[in-house]
Amino acid sequence: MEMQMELSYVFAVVITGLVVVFLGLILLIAFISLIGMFFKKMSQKNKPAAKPAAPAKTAAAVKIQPAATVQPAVSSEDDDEIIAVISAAVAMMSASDGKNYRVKSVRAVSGAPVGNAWASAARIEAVRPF
Amino acid sequence: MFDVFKEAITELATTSGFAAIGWKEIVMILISFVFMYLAIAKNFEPLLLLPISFGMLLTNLPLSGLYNPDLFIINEEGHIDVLNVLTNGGLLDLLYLGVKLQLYPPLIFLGIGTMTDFSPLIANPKSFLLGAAAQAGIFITFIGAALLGMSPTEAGSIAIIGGADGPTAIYVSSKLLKPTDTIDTGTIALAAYTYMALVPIIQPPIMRLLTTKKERSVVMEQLRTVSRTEKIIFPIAVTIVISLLVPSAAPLVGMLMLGNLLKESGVCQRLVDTAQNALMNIVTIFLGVSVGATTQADKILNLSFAKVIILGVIAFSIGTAAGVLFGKLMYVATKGKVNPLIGSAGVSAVPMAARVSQKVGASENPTNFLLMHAMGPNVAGVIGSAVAAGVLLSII
Repeated sequence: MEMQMELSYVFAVVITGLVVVFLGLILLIAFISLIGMFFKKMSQKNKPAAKPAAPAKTAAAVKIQPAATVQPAVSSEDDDEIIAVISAAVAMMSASDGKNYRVKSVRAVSGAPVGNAWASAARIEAVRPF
Repeated sequence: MFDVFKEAITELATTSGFAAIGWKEIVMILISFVFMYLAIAKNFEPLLLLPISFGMLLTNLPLSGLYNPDLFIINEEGHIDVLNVLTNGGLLDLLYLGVKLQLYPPLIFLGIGTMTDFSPLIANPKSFLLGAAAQAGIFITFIGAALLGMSPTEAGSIAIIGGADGPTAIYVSSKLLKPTDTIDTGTIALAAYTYMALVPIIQPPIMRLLTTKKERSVVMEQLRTVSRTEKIIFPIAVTIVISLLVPSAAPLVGMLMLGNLLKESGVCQRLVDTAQNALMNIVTIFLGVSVGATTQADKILNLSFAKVIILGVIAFSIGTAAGVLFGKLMYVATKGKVNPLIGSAGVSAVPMAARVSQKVGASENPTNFLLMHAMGPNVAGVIGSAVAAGVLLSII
């Protein structure tokens, strides 16, 4: 073992290290952000008449209970369609299961991931091994 | 005739390994069995731990002459006598030249580059900050090692374990450590790879301890798509910026980015295939077995090894904590748009650390997908630890 290090040297190493690492990566942030902004502008120039954003879809969660009463918790037209689709899916399920299911309530899940419930179910399945 | 036979047998017995083996070698061989068990039965980084542990076995079999540390003593001119190693070295001495001359880690980085997708980082460059914050583990451990009375070269080699990056740890320790030091590259590599395998056990308690349920449940905005041109510019830009800032990080960062450029260019498929399969596998075997060979009994069975083990886990934990705490800072700064859990992925350990962020996040909200968000700090951590390595090499 060699001589012990002086405390001032140790702290010099630590501070220099942290400063240089942060400095290097902040430089990269600036650089990458600049490039990103440049490409964003380029793509906007190329597509001046971009389509208006599609209306955001709300993902729906379904609560199913065997032989329960229907209590729709939503009323807008869009949601009526969603409920109809969900009810149809549930009806199919009850036909194949041989059990009686009823849609008890349908409510939008706040903070749901982008995409529909099936897509997120698939995504959950895909990342489960991790 | 009987006398000749007796003499021959006695001669054989006295020159055999059985006569020369001591308790230290036996202990080391048993330790190599433990690591083999961890690699085979527990799947602890098997691709590296298995060759390392077998190298450990080989080097502790007496009289085999596979590895001779005396050959690697630095001469008056300040470097090792390569010709002497080539003429008098055993098999593992020859392979170890690749470690001692810092050849293998950059080649491994080339392979890693061909397998890394930097787009989460390009889409969210702020992730670089988390990759930088997690390097605090390296430097704070340096203080700890200094307080325990270690030499600067030893302290630097131990601290780099906190970077959670095997090739970087080997690169730094093989360059820093001197023959007079009580630890060796093999010790550092063993600790680094063992802890990397233990990332899913070490990190989650720290992550939960430092975050609130609300913070862990943050769902982050989807990342934007990154254009091909951006992906091609990225490796070139990083190489230039980092190599100019910290020239001693150039071999690692340069090779990492070359690999990535080969991949993203889309025109070098054959080279990508070789770099990420054949070349990487060959180098991994050479690296593993020769690094394992440096773990001779007197280098392991001493107090310094215990210090490496303890400081190694501290380095890892501090790195994780610093990443998460910086994540919390970003959570506050962005008014709750950043999930602090992705900060822990800032220690490299790709992709294990990002998986841990995903897993801990999903345990709060199963529909929360942090994986891609965590990959940003994760790959930034690789660059960050290479920069930290460069800093350590140039200061110490």
